[in-house]
Amino acid sequence: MQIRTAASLLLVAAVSFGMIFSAKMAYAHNFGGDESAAYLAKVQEVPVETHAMLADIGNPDLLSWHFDKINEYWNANDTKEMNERNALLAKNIPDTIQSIITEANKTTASPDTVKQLVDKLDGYMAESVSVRVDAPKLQNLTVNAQAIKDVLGEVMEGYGDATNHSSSNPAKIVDQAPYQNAKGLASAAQTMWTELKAKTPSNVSSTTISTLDKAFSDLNTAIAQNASDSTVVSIANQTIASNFVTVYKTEAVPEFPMPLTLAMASLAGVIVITRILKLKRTRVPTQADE
Amino acid sequence: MIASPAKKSITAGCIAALVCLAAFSTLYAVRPASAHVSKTFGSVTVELGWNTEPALTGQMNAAQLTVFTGSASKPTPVLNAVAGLTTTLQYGTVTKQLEFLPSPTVDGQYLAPILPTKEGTYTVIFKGTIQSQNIDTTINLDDVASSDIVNFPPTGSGSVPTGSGNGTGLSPDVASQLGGIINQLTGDIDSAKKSADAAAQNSAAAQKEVLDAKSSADRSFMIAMTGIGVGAAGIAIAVIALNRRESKTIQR
Repeated sequence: MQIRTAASLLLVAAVSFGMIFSAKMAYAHNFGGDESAAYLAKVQEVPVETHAMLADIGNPDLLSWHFDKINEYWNANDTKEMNERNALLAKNIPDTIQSIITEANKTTASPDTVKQLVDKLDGYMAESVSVRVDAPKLQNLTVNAQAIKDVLGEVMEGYGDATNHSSSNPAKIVDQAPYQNAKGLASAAQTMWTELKAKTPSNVSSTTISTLDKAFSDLNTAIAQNASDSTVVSIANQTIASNFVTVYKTEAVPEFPMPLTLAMASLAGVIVITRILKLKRTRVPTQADE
Repeated sequence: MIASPAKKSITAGCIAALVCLAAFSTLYAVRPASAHVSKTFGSVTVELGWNTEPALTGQMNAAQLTVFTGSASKPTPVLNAVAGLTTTLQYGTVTKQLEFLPSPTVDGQYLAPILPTKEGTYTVIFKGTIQSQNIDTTINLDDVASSDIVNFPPTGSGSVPTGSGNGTGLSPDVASQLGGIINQLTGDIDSAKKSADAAAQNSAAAQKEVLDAKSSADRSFMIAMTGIGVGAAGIAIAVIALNRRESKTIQR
């Protein structure tokens, strides 16, 4: 009984440590996470969705997915943050998004009107960059590389949903809207890469640059040809992300962060100890019998 | 010598004409001069001027750029107009890159903050494209005037108004010197006040950041504590369940 209590206390301590460590990571992330990179990614994500809406006029199912996604990309917090820098853009961006949704949702939606609104929003989003992202960060290569990584994260999410994480090659597209999202964002990521490459100093290995060039091209081809989900993830996560860590010092995100590993180890410990104790209990009567 | 009626009427006419001219000049002078300069390139019109007029030295201002297509009476604002444009501010032979940011009030209008330090002509050089239209031009901003025209009391006078006979018992020379010293001190105090205000603002900003950090840390701590509680409760329940099970096994 005492051993069990001691083991329990030990596990409580381990779980607590894991949780606290976890919370500290969140605290560090709040300050270390690059909001500028996230905004630069958003500037690509929002237009991809509005252009998809323009292409999907008359298809309520696809439009509905895009409406949800654009509200995920631009939320009340984005408006609030923009309002701190520019009241006009803080009003115009959400208003234009809403106008696009309203117009596209009409049974007799006018593609010309939607296009005008989409073009207008493109302009607002583009000019919001200099307002929302400070000039030094806008020129910072790590920030720009991180923005591409953020976009690639969305590509992987979209393509995973589109193929239901299929391992077949070619994969079957089970959901068209996230497929459009992944396709649009992969193309946007390639454009962002071209801009980043132009700013990259010449002392960076030309082999690495060529590898990245090929990876972005491969990514777009893989999505266009409905490659398996693992192929897309491999290009985005391994080839591009790993080279970005080396060249642009972007943060390497471990697949199993330390807090999660600790928490899992603790749970595994609880299970193992419970099993051992159970085994011991089942043996006790046998020994007594002897 | 007596003037003839003809001469009189000519003189009267000249006087009337002069009065009209003076009145016209006065009216024209009091009208705010439209110091914004417009230039059209294909379908794109750019308009440049000071954001606050008149522009005075030492006073925060901004170059205001408005870009539109269509006619001036029915303009269509051009969004993200400065993306393909390089803008440089020039004063004499000195140049500086200008960063135009979207105006917080008007679509298609962009502001680049400038604190003019010297009187004279400031020129903005535009190079690049707007909506695929090549732009390569220079536009002069309205001349910057000395802020002395609105300063009160004048900073350069070096004297304090003492009234007639000054009534202080001080000689005019001493009063003048004292006035200069007082003016200097007033300037120093103003400068110190500005520094103190800036420091206070920095301090307030730092305090806000600390409070934000504290709030975030508190939130994280609460989450951690909740996690600990849940974890501990789970393990306690597991231990109790194991004990019960054990006692039931023994009873059997």
